Amino acid sequence: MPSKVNLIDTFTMQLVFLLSTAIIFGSPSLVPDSWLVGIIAFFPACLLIVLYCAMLSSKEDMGLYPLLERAWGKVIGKMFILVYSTYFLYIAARNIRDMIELIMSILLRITPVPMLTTLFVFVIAYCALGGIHAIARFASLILWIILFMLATLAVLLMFSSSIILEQMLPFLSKGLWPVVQTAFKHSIWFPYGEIIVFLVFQPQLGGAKRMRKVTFYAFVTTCIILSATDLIQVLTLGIENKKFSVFALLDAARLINIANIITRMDALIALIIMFGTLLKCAIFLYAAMVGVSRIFKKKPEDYAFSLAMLAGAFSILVTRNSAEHVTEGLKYVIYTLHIPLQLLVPLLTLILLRIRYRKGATT
Amino acid sequence: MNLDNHGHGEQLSSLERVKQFFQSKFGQTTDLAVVSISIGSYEGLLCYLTTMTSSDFIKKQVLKELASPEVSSPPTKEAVFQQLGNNHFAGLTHEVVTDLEQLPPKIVLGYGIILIEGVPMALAVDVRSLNSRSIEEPTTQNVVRGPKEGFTESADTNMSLIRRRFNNVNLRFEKFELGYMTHTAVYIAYLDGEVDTEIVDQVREKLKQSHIDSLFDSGRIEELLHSKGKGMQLFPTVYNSERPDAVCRHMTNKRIAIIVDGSPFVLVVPSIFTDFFKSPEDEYQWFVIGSFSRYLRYFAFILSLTVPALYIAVTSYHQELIPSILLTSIAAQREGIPFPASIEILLMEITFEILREAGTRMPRIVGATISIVGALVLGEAAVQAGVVSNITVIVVSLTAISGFVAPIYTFGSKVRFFRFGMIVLSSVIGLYGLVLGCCLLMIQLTRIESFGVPYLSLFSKWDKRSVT
Amino acid sequence: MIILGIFVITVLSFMLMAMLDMLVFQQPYLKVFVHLLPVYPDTSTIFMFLVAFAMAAWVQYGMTERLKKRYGGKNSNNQSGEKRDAKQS
Repeated sequence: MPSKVNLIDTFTMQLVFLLSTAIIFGSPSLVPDSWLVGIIAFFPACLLIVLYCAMLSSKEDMGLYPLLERAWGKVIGKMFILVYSTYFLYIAARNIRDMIELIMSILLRITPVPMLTTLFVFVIAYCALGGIHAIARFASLILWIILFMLATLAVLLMFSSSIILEQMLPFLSKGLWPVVQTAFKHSIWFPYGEIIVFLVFQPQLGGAKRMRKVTFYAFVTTCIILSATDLIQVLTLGIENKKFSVFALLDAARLINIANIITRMDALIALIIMFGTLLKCAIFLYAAMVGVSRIFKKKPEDYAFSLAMLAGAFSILVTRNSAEHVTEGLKYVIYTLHIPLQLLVPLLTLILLRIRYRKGATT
Repeated sequence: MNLDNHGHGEQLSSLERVKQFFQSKFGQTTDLAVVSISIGSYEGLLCYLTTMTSSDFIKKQVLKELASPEVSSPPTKEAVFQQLGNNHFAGLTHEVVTDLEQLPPKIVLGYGIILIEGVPMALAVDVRSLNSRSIEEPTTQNVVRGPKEGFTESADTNMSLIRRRFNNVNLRFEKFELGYMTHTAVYIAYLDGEVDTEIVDQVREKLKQSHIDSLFDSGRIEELLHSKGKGMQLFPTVYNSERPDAVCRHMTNKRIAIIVDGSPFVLVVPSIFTDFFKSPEDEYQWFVIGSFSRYLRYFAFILSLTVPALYIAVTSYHQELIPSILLTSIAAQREGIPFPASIEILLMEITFEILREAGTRMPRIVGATISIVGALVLGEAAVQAGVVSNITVIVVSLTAISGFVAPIYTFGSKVRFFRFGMIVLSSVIGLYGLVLGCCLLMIQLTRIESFGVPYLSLFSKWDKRSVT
Repeated sequence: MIILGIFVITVLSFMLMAMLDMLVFQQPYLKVFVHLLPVYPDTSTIFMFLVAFAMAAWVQYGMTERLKKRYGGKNSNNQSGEKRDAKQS
């Protein structure tokens, strides 16, 4: 029996995982009152927990990959494992790209991208090498940094009198419906749906029972923190400004100015994002490593550096420019990747498992 | 050997043969005393190493007892040993040996051997009395308030220092012998019932399987006790202390102490990151002050790691992050300095390292010279000569002082290496490199496990009771 | 097997990215796929792929062990000695 990860560590790991990239992009600003989107998306997201937990508990808490094999048989199961590994690696690559774009825009404008990516990717691989226990402990370390920096940001914004309550208005100018629509189109799948990656580690995380509780609390906390940061963005930037800003939190942080001494806090945000992305990518990478090693029969650790390198290379290839990156992320990735792999495949797997399991029980 | 053909008893009963045997075993060593004595009416032999005992001890404890009137008139030869063992040497460790081959190791350990002509037995009495440093105030971990005793080089003294703090039947000492050449005594001490038996087993296993030839200080086995295969050991996972109260405090928190004969530094395993920031004094003070100074230490640790790297990153890559007033003053100071910031910092850091190394290795009397040369020549003069800027000196001295805040010396010495790594990273890619370096360190910290105990875990439940 | 695994993942990822590009740019699949290959104009990723495969090969053929065996005289003397002794006893 592998020893289980500490309950609080699991919680913090999921929390940091959910927050890391979502916090910088915020809820997609397709509608005014985007901060409401986060709150509304929380409720359908909880259905995902129910689905995943039902899937887990139908066959004594195995990980995602063995479950797929059980449900679909050897060959198709293995194909699905490969698909999921690729999917995880692809999301990792996208996240790296997000982070690198951000770094390029604030900190280093002339350093060659492959160099930045390669260094970052090595750190990710090193993190993933430690296994899920080390990642979880690392997450609890990062969480404090992130929360501390966010709190600092909020306080500083308040002191530099950038928070203007009137900017929230007009409230619900187009009614509730577009908000609900965006919630269903985007926020469920990103960040909440990405929690599916934790299904891979369930044997170490403690199975359906623990996941139900821990993930629910993680979702609640994420929802609160994300809505709060969204609200801060709206209150500082105003609805119109936020709509056209790619890194909204960053633009909000730029407004900080206290007595001309504390300025340029956007570097601080960059650090938050770096820590968060590092953890998120490490988790995705580890999931991909486990998947690949399940098929090609070696230790997951053997794949760490090569797969990380691949993720780095893909992060450069994945899109040619930011515009493509954003449209791809907001539209096509959700419809072609997130919805099938986060909802449809698990749902079918659950149905298949239920049928097969019942059969197995009677015979 | 031919002697083996005879029974062991026969060998012991002939004193001549025993003498010959010792001659062949010990050779020409001068500190072996083989003294013919008479016990009552019998002829006897007393052997011991003069270097392991004192003549005073032999005179008072052994010869006096042998000459006492009850011994002089024993019923039989065999009864002499019984009487000696039960009555006269009852206070000393003693045992009856019947095998000649067992005697030399006993003698080496400081036993005195008493033999009687015609008796196939030997009585081994512990007559060890060694000169050792008296208990003094520890030199490495100073406290203002708290016990002033420190461990010494004698393991016996050290064990008694621990035992006197635990009037508890559960305190256990176990002995191991390490080193092919030295046979150094190594003791592990733990509180039975408190400690994890699995960890004790692991420690035992590691000590037994160690293959080293000599052991003169506990620093040597520190390496053995690292858990391998969990990444590089960039951080110390073995706590060492000169203070009995610190060691005992840790032992109440499920730790195991390892005492090496000849070393005043007692090791404690498994140790976690936070242990290295605790000074025993924290607990003897008002808790607010104690935890304040502890957090100050963490802060100093982070400062000593990042400040020079941050300075380099900010001045050479991200000038926009500095408030403009400060930026102008820095720029004004750096006017006329020939080197870029990173080389300047590296230069000063290395100079400081050399100074520190010289300061610790030098004879104490010359120490004052070092500080004069360091402070005046390298500090003042270098700035006035325009080789380095004032702010560099400030940065380097700030880091240097922060580096010494860690209560455990080994921890501080390892941190210095990371500082250089950070400097290199940030001179290559600025703040990005610095953050990546910090990430690497944090990952490393969370990856290490010491005997299965996570090194740094904010929510660890392993030693719950150590929460202070 | 490690090299094969890395290769399969590379191909799959390329296919996945080509599929998304096809949807974004509304162009035929093959054309997008060819455009995606890191030949021109940005060649730096080729090196990253090469490094990835080199590292896979390194692990596959256990190069760390081999190098240790050949050159690990002084560095790991103590440790290997320990291990050998432990095995003998």
